[in-house]
Amino acid sequence: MLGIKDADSAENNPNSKNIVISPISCALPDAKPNAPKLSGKVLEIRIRPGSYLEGFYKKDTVTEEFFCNYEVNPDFEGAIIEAGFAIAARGEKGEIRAIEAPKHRFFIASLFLPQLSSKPGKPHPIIVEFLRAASKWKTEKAEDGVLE
Amino acid sequence: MADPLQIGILGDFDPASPNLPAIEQSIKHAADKLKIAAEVKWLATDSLITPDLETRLGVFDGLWAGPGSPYKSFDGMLRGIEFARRRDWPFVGT
Repeated sequence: MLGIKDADSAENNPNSKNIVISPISCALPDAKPNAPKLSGKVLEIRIRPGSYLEGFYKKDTVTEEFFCNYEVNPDFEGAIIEAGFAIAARGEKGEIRAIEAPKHRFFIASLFLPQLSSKPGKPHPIIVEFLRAASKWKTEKAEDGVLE
Repeated sequence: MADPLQIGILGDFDPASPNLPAIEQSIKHAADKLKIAAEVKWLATDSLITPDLETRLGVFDGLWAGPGSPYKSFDGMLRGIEFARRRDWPFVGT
């Protein structure tokens, strides 16, 4: 994705020279025993102004649920941006929490888990927009015959 | 109602996981809001190491890369994401 040949994750290969995915640097203080280092609600996720995410949430700060031990190594932020992605959400200390690809019809990856805060009658805005994009694509790809 | 939307979830389904069954639920919540029907299919990461990946993934209208690393096949997961990225398929990774 970034053109780094030996890119790896600290979970798979802690000795790789290019650890793009590294252990969480700042664990949540109230994590339950045996839970991942970053788990539970994080109140202050900052959404980048002008991003797709901001359009979906219609807010500049959101609360999200996490359940993870690894995050994007900040040393690779420049490479991520050069590869055409935007940092769409950040944690309190500027940590990368979601990226999006502005040139793509819909490409969003987040460290948080929107599925955990979705409720009947109160779906998560990212998932609503994902389905909306998929629905549009369903029609377009049938018309274009893109796979033929 | 039109044919249901087809969503493929890249990931190794585990009913005991706190995060995986929630994906299907959250898709249902969103589909209800949009008044559409959506069907979900799990695509195990080790099944994505296949020469007919384009055909297998192309039938879906959107792809969701689920959590749950270490995956059965990290490489399979990457190939699935790469398909979405290169072929411009609607994608969300959580």
